[in-house]
Order: sequence, then structure tokens, then C-alpha cells
Amino acid sequence: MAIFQRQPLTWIRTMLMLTFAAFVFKLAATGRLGTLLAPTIRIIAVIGAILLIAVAIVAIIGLCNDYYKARAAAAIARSSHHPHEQAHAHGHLLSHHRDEVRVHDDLCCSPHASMHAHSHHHTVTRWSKWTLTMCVATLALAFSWSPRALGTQQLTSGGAVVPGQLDRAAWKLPTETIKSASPVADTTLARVATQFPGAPSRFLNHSFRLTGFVYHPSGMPSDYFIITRYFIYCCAADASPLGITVHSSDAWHYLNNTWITVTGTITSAPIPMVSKLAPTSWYQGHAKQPIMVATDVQLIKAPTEPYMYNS
Amino acid sequence: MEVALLKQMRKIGKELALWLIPIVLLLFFIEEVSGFGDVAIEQLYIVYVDVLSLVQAGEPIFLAIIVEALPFILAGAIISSLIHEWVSEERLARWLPANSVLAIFSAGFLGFFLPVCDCGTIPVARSLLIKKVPVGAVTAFALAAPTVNPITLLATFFAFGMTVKMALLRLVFSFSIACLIGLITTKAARSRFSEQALHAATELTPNRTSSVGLYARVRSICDHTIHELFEIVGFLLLSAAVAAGFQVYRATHQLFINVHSDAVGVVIMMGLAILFSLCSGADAFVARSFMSFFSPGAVLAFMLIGQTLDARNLLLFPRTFGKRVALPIIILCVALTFTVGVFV
Repeated sequence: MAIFQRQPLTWIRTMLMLTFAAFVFKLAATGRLGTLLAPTIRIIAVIGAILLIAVAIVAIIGLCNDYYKARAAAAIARSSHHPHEQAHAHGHLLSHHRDEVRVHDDLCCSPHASMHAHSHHHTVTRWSKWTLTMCVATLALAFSWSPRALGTQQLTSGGAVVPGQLDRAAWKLPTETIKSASPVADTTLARVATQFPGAPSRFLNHSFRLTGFVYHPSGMPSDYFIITRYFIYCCAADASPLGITVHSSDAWHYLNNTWITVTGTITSAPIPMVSKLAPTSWYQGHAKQPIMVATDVQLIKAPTEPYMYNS
Repeated sequence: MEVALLKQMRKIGKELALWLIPIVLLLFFIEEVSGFGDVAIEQLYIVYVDVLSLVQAGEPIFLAIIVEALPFILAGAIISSLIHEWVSEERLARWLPANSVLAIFSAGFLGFFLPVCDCGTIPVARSLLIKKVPVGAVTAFALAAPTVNPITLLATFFAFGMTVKMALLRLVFSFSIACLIGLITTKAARSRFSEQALHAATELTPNRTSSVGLYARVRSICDHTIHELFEIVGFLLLSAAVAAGFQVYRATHQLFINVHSDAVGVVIMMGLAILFSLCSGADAFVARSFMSFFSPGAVLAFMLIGQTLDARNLLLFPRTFGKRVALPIIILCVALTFTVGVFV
């Protein structure tokens, strides 16, 4: 189409901007912005998308404006037979230039345009072509593969094996069954990870309910798993996994990445090498290493807010 | 010329489509059919599955960095365009102190009022260069602005458990390093460097338009914004890919490093900071998580260099300041930050 041939680079750029804004809105509308960003940043991202659209629209209006003006001026110049009228039309063309500063390449079709300085000329460099290619590829990826909340993929793929796992005896729970009379309190893995080392007595022998996803590190005995959840500050790039070891008789039943709510009592037992795993690296150096003895495990739907944030 | 561009775009597009579409379709198909991640296939450690799961892990990180950084880059591009259009050279010259040394210090403080993260400072720096602000002052601004602003300082304060010490150290050293490098650049710029920088900046920016009328002005600001945005966005995509890949690599390979000497720790932390390319709000928290493995000096160096130099700026500084100016800036950044890290 003729209108796009005038300034294809700017047209492509504005289209890319609109597409990206559409992507952000799509995530926001489906409630999936939470798989990428913390709450405050989500607002910033949406505002950014709105700004992006505003800038793109102004540019598009300008492009259409240029095109129609140039076409009108060229038509006048062509259809006019009277030399005076032609000069007048050309003068008309010139006055438009004065009003609207930018003399785009599209006005090159006018034979006298070459005399006017090109005050706004996009040099198409190799880098700008590569940029456009990367933008298109990124948007294609973003739309075709909806980002998923971080899970065990990056935890398991490295083959992090728990050394000493063969020493089954070392995984023994304390023999007396802990039955706690205390009511079950809801808590989060973030709270456990930050508060347990300083005040273990607040947690030991108390019952809690935790939400997270299942993580089976390779080499862990089959009646244990680590319930994990990621903590983020700004966005998924600064995510760190936090977890606690869970003992459950049917632990093998739950696959990696399954979201569950576990109810159980927290006890402490020496657990060999678990502090070498990422979600439980906060166990490092502390005398008491918590295990949650699960009394109830519920499967839940993956939450819309998969990460934990600073409240 | 435009028609030739269109032809080339079509060619690149076709090549890309030949690779991209089947790969994307394949991934999509697998995801849909196997309920990837929900099935026993997780238990099969086939390399192919491992690679796919790594990409799946990296994708949200990659997209998160882009979605988060883009509003700030856009803000920087808009501010830069506003400076380009509305602030004349004469007005800027009046605001800045005549004494070049004072100018550098005040440029360092300018970051306090312009809280764009480090992605947004480059377009603004370029605009300032074109307005004939001295190179030393622009350098001080570009290096200090990401850190010397209320958001970053607050984040640092919170990250280190509501203590002022780290935030204060960060402020003092960031500002000092930026001003020092600014002073050195000014000395060097007396010869020929400032022309280089001006030339580099002008080459990449369209001429200022003598717009009249509000519509024309708004329009030219938008056009300039788009131009600045697309200058940077390529670097953003590349560095986001590097950072995402590195994050996934680090997680899977459980990098527990036994550091034998503080100096080595500083070097490692600086390298990590450059690779992570974190935004100024988050790097304090990530730095904090390294506290148990490295010395406080190394953690401080991580925060200092992470905002002055990262994968993105390493590519952008030469383009903005010209190779002759950018190289000393980069070397000085590294050297000064290392010194601070080792001796603090």
C-alpha cells in the first residue's frame, strides 16, 4: 500500500510498539502479569504500555498526515494546467513545509523537493535492521509461548544431587510422633525462612499451613520433598527459591511443580547436605534444620500470585 | 530507498520465519499435547527435555527484564526528546555553573531529580551532549544518575535491613567515582575527545527541528522518542537474553564459590554484576543475598559497578560517547570500583 511505502521504518516501529503494548495488556487482562513482575512494577509496566501507545498513535497520525498532504499537493500540481496555479500549488507545498518542519523522503516525488533540506531522515543502519529482527522474534516468542511462573525447571536440570542420600539412616525422623495441640496457623515460606533461624522455638512443635510447589531433588528419599516458592523483589530476574523439607508418607505421589497446601508440624532433625540445595540454602550454618511432618496435603490450583513479595 | 529497505526486511523476515515458525510450532505442540511439566516426562532426563525446560525457565526471566525495563527506557527517551526540543543550549548553559569542576558536581546531582533507571540515562546523556554540555559533566551524570536517586537509595536502605551504612557508602562512592571520572574526562576532553563525543551523539540523532505550533512540537517529540527508543531496545533484548541465560545457568549449576581472597571475591562480584544487568531497584536485594559468601567490599562493588557498567552500557557507551572517550571511562570505572571494593 502506498501509504506504507512512504516511511516503512517508522510504520514498522510503531506497529512493534503497539504489539508490545498489546502483549502487556494481554498479560494484565489474563492476570498473568504476576508471573513476571512484582505488584508495584506491574503498575509501572501498564503505565509504560499506555505511554507507548500514546507515542505510537501520535507518530501514526503524523505519518498519515504527511501522506495525505503530499498526495493532495502532488495532485494539485499535476492537475493544474495554468502555470500560475502550478506555482501557487507549489507555493502551497512550500508553506506546508514551513508549518510542519519535517520534510520527509516521501516528498521527494515533488521535483523541487530535492532543493529542500532533509531535516528528518532515518538512516537505516545494519543495527536498526537487526533490532527490528530481534523485536519481531521476541514478540513472536512472547505471544506464542505464554510465560509460566518459575518452577523446578532451573532447579532440577543441573542434576543437583543430594550427596549422602544413600545413607538412608541419616534421614531418620525423631521417633516420637509429634502431636501438637496448637491451632494451625497460616504462614508463608518467606516468613519461615527469615524468622526460623533467629527464633526456632516459635516454629518448632507448632502446626502450620504452607502453600508452595513440590520439588523432588534427585537423590532425596522418596518420602521427602521440598515445598518451594520463589521470592522476588522487582521481577522474575531477581527471584530466589525458598523452601522447607517436608516429610509425607505419599510424597512420591506428587510430581514436580505441583501446587499444594501442606498442613503439618514443624520439627527439627539433622538433614545431610540439604543446605546445598537452592531452596534450602538458608539452612546453612544453623543448628536446627526444620522438617515439616505433613498431616495433610491438598492439591490446589496454581495461584495467580505464584511469588512471594516484601509486604 | 524505502522500497529497498522493505525488500531487505522481507528477506530477513523470510529467513527468520523459516527457522522460527517450525520451532515455535513444535514447542507449542509439545506444550499442548504433553502437558509439559505435569507428566512423568519430567522424570526422564533426556537432554532435549533439559534444554527445553531451561528455555522455559529462562523465558519468564527474559520477558520480565524487558517488560520491566521498557517503561524506564521510554521515560528516558521522552525526557531526552523534551530536552532536545524544548531546552535550548543557552538555557542549559545558564543553569550549569561556569566552573567546569562545579558543573561536574552539579551534573552528578542531576540524577537525584531524574529517577530513570540506568537504561534511561543514555538517551538523556546523548541529548545533553548535543546541547554542548561539557563531556565531563555528562559523564558524571550518566554514571551517577542510576544510583544517586531516591528510589535506589531507599531500596538499598530496605535491602540491608533498614540500616543506613550500605546506602550511605553506596551514595558516597557512586557520586565520588562518577565525579572523579568526569573530572578526568574533562582533562582529556580538552584535546579532541569532546568533538568525538559530540560527533558520535549527533550522528545518531536526527537534527533538531524548528517546530512551530503545539501539534508539530508534540509530534516531533514523539518521533524523536521513537528514534531513541529503537536505538536502545536492541541492546536491551541482547542483554536481557544474556542475563536470563546466566540466571538459569547459575541456578542449575549451583555456583557455590569458595573465595580464598577478598580481591578475587571483588572481581567475581563485579563480573556477576555486569552479567546480571539488574535494574537499580533490585540490585541491592540481590547483592544482599550474596552477603554470606563475599566480603562487604565485594557486595558494595557489585552495587557500584552494576549501575555504571552492565552488558548494555558496555555496548552503549562507545556509541554515545565515541570510542576514544568510552574506553577510558570503562577502564576507570572498573579500576576505581575494584579499589573501593578491596579497601572498604
